[in-house]
Amino acid sequence: MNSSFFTGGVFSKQLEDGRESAQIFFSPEAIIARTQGGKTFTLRYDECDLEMGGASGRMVFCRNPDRSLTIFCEDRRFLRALAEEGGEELAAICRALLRRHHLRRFHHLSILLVCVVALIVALVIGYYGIMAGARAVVHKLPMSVDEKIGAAAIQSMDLMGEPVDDAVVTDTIQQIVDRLAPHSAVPNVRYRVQVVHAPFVNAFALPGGNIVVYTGLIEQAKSPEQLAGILAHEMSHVTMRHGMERIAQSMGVTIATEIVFGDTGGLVALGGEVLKTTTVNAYSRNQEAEADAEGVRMLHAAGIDPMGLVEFFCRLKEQQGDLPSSLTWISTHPNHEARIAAIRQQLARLPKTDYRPLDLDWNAVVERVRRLPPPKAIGHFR
Amino acid sequence: MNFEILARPTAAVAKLTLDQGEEVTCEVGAMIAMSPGLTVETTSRSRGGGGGILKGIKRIFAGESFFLNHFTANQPGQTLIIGPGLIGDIVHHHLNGTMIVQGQSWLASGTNIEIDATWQGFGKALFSGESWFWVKCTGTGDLFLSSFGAIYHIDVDGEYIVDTGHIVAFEDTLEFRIRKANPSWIGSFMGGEGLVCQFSGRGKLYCQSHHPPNFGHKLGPLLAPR
Repeated sequence: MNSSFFTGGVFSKQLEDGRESAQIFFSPEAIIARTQGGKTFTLRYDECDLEMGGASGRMVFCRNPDRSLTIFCEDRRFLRALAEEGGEELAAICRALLRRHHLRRFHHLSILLVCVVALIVALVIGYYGIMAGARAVVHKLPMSVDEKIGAAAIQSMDLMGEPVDDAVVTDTIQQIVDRLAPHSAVPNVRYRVQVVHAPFVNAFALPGGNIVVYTGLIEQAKSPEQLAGILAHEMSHVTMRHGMERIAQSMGVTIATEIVFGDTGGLVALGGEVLKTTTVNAYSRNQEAEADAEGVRMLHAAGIDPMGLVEFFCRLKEQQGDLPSSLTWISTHPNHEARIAAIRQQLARLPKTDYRPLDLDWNAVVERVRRLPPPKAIGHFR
Repeated sequence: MNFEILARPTAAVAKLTLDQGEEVTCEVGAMIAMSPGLTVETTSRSRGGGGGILKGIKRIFAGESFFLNHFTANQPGQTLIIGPGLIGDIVHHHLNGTMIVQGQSWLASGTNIEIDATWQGFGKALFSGESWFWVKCTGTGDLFLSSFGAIYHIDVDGEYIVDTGHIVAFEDTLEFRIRKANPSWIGSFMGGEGLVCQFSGRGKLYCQSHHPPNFGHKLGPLLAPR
């Protein structure tokens, strides 16, 4: 005989509230329930009608034929113990109930799985739809829109340094831009380069043609070809309208998040920001690779040796190292090694040409930059 | 502990009278007024045993607070007045087993009752009009439930149907499923009822007369813009 006690309850009109918690155990002939108040109820196996349900869906109800007494228990072992004690007929009913319960759980899990898969598919389709849609919309707009947005952006930005107006520096850089400009994919873009005195080894392009180059980058470049490589890369961002694409994609993700989640706040807003950082930045890595490829094409067409760009990345790699591969998804730029390899592959495919060196006094430019007074308080790097 | 529920059903408050050494656990922010001989302790752990950080986090998902307030009387005859955040009713239930309570309807309970959160399934989470998790109260003792609007109870024996968003609490011997209010989908939604909760089994069920989001949708357009 099964000597286990189970915790459950009893429904009966004999109880004050009609229900009471009880300890349940088995005798050779019946299920016995002893309530907390000390009352004992007996339900014979041959009179027992079984059902499963309750809030958890796995509570077992044992009723007498006129339903005046119900003994119930949620313990997972109860039904198996009842099958052992209650004889063949009750054991068959218990097995059928268990089967039905498992089938129901399987059914619920299947629906859940289908819903999760459908949600993931909808998210993936929605995400790629937004990305492609935003990109298509941007490329339908005239370049004058880029110029207006770029001009407004550069006026409102803190460039974190004083502008450099030394003609030796600015004219040299303008000469490089002038040699590259005729070979850009979009004609008639007016490139405006601004040199800013700050120690960042960085340059960036805004929509429409505004390009900012930091003096830290000029100091790091060992030849005008190296800087030409960076400038070609930034000019490619302008012609390929990457800044506009990112604005449109970011807006698309924000609008879609608000449509799905309503007025976003707290955790949902945080989740949306993480989504934007990971997905839009991931897309930006593709844009960087595209700008590298287009920059190399421009350099090649302008007769400037694209190896300057490779040499510059090699210098950065030596000085800064690469992010661990597990962290590259948070970075906007692909790692240096991958970029160098991609450029080398592209160069191998390009037709042979005689590159004409940039006839510029690069040492004079670097010397002028070094002679500038130390930069003022430095803000954060972006 | 003695109790009295005042100003029912629209703006009810519960006045609890505790003898020296008696304790009661309340929802954070439920206290309106109290005698000076009561001390308050705020923890994430329930007095009935168990609890801690994990259960506190689960309670947040059920629409309750991470913390619980435990009031202990240091002198005889101390009174504590508690009420819910929204205007509505309060009901006392003598718990002897388990009660599944919709998020925000648990107001207070005796210290022998454990407060936990429970998951009722994906379909109910999406379509019941309630929080994704529910508050599960287990033990023996006094349980105070609050509602938005009036509260009423039904002793279900068989089947009973409640509109989504109107459930306050039900005993664990009841099962509920989400189904259409009308045999046809068009009829269900044109009739304004949409989906309903169909209870089956035997046990006590508490329902509320109003549904906060519906009330908000009706009230919102009538408010003057800021």
